[in-house]
Amino acid sequence: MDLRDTPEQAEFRAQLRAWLADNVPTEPEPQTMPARFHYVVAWQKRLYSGGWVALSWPKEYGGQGLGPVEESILNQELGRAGAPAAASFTFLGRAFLTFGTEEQKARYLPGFLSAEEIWCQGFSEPEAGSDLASLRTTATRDGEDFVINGQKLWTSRGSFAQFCLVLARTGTRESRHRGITAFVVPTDTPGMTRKPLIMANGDEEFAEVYFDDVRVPASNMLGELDQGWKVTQATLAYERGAADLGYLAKYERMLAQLAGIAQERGVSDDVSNVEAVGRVLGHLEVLRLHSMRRLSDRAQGKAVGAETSIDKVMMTQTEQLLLHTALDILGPEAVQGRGDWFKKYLYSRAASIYGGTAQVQRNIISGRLLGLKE
Amino acid sequence: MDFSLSEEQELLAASTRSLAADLFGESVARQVLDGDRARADKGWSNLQEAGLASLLVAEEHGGGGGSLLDACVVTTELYSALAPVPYLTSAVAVPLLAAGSGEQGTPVLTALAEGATYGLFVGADLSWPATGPDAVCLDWAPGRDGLAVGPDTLELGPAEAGPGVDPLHPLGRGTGAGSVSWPAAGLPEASSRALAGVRVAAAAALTGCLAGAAQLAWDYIATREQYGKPIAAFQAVRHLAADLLVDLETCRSVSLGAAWQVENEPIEDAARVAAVAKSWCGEAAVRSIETSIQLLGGIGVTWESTAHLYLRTAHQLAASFGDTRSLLRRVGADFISARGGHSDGSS
Ligand SMILES: Cc1cc2nc3c(=O)[nH]c(=O)nc-3n(C[C@H](O)[C@H](O)[C@H](O)COP(=O)(O)OP(=O)(O)OC[C@H]3O[C@@H](n4cnc5c(N)ncnc54)[C@H](O)[C@@H]3O)c2cc1C
Repeated sequence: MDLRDTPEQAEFRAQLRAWLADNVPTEPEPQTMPARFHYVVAWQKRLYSGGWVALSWPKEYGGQGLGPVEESILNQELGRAGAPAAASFTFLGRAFLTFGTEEQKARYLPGFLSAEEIWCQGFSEPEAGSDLASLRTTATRDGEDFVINGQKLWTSRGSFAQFCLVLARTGTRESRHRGITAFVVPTDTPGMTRKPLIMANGDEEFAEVYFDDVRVPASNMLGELDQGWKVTQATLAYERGAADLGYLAKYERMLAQLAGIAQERGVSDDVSNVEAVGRVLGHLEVLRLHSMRRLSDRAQGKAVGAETSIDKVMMTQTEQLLLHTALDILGPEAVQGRGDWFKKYLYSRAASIYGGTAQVQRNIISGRLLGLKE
Repeated sequence: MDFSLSEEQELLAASTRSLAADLFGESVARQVLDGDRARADKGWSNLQEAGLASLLVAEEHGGGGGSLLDACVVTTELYSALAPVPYLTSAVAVPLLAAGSGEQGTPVLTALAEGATYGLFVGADLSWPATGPDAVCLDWAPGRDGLAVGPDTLELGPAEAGPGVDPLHPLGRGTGAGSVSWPAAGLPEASSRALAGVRVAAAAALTGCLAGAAQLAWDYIATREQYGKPIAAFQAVRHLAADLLVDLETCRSVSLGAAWQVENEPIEDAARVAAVAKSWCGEAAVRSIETSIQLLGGIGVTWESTAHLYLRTAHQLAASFGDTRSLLRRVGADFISARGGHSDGSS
């Protein structure tokens, strides 16, 4: 064990820090969509032109050929510099790296990484949330094409994206996970309609997406016919993992802000506040070490799997505790909407829902990690 | 960046696990409960012969020259096997504190390498450090001296049997800590680091208690049948079982990582992460052992069940060397005074 940077990693960190000092936007991140979305995309473009995107991806596909450790140094330093997060949706790109044909990689990955083309994930449906394998959107073969019909829900960035990775049923109604295929669908394809969906915090966070005879060529299939579940599993495992240490710096900054507010208001000596801050900090330290352990496994070539469900539970607990503590420390002012803490708090309630709910993570842990028979 | 245990450490864990399974486990714990320490003491001699009890003593004093991380790996395994031996005190805390107190610690270190066993004096509220004459001796045994350590004092003293909830790790009531004094603040770095090391080792011990109790529960729910099937088929049971694994894995991460940090990073970071590890593992172990008891049903709350032994040990450990809440208050106060003034978050 050695938790320090190697000399090369330290050098990489120093270069990155210097670049960030010159490039992190000085104007604050807008608090509402769609301004926030545009701000984040602009930032992603700048990161890309600086050569800081897809660090751990192979060079031939627009990456930097580095490892997961450099990826995590990037996230740490972004957090430390107070920069917006790197597009956290890179897990979708992972699906192309693993399952895409060479043509698909060449066509989609550059735009994906440079943020010239924004993607969204069309998995969940009104009737298929946790039970994703029951999804009903169909894709029917018609000559060289597939014709897609159905509806997706909770599609993050759905109103802004140019492409959607859509899971559709290509098998029988009862085929569940054996009859699902993943398709690339440009969102301007005729027959596709998108309706923004407003989150409880007021943000235009996601969309409803309707498919009415949406026609895509068979070459838009990602992975093989009826093999979409593999694509799904791979992206979800990456979505859940804790190896991305970027959250931590962000949470720690929020905690420091709270400590500052407590001091300003003369309640920072209150023993229950002190203890509450300590408790959040404890969670952050545990999450940091746990994430480093995962990251180290990954750097040593261990495949990403069901253990990410443990990480997701821990991350969720931490985020929700942090925002709860914020409301406790702010007291009555929180409910009068001081700053955007209440908005952040509302968003934190989604942490135990997206990417597989807290209960679904426990289903995975008990079934796949503990091997308990149902 | 590398979080993995070395091959030697993996081996150390595996060999300690199998040694502990041979030497200890439930039947030995039961004998201790009935007042018969013969096999427990024999097991302790075996650990000493295997060099595990002097692992942390430097080679120049005749010990194994191991790292805190090595010692934590061993500690977790022994507590998971309910070993009723003074490992955390005599093999971890005493050498760390003796080494941290400079020259005067040398005789203690040499004696440890030669097979001596010591208890450890802590404050009457089980907190650290021991102050005043009402100190409590952790891992007390008849005729065994306890060590009382201050930044520039180090004393051995006797204790008599005292009350305690954990029969595997008895407490003594001592008068030996009378002249030991600690400054309220500004401890010498060596003492702070030794104390941080003790906290992390306690976290490792708590992780072991949690691991042992969780395994009891996981084994039980897979075989116990109700409503015509194993209770592990019921989701309410499965989710509690899953929570045990979340606690166990996070305890492993924080106790192992903190063990490395305490030996290799600046003292402020060492002290903070040790306090976090101790408080996290203390709370998680008690919580998870309680959950394990819930999963065991009626049998879990009987004297016959092993579960209460884990629970007793975990409570005693959680209360020692700074309990969860006092440690959280300390890290909270440090964070607020260091970072609160910079509400833009810069450090
Ligand atoms: C902010 C946000 C962003 C999202 N972004 C996307 C996106 O970009 N693309 C996308 O495809 N999806 C997205 N989702 C959807 C998300 O994946 C689903 O909301 C989630 O999987 C849960 O599905 P559901 O909402 O239908 O709830 P349901 O599955 O109906 O669950 C309702 C309740 O029942 C519980 N439950 C359901 N089944 C079980 C079970 N078997 N055992 C125990 N409890 C169970 C759940 O835990 C939950 O408490 C997003 C969601 C949110 C909140």
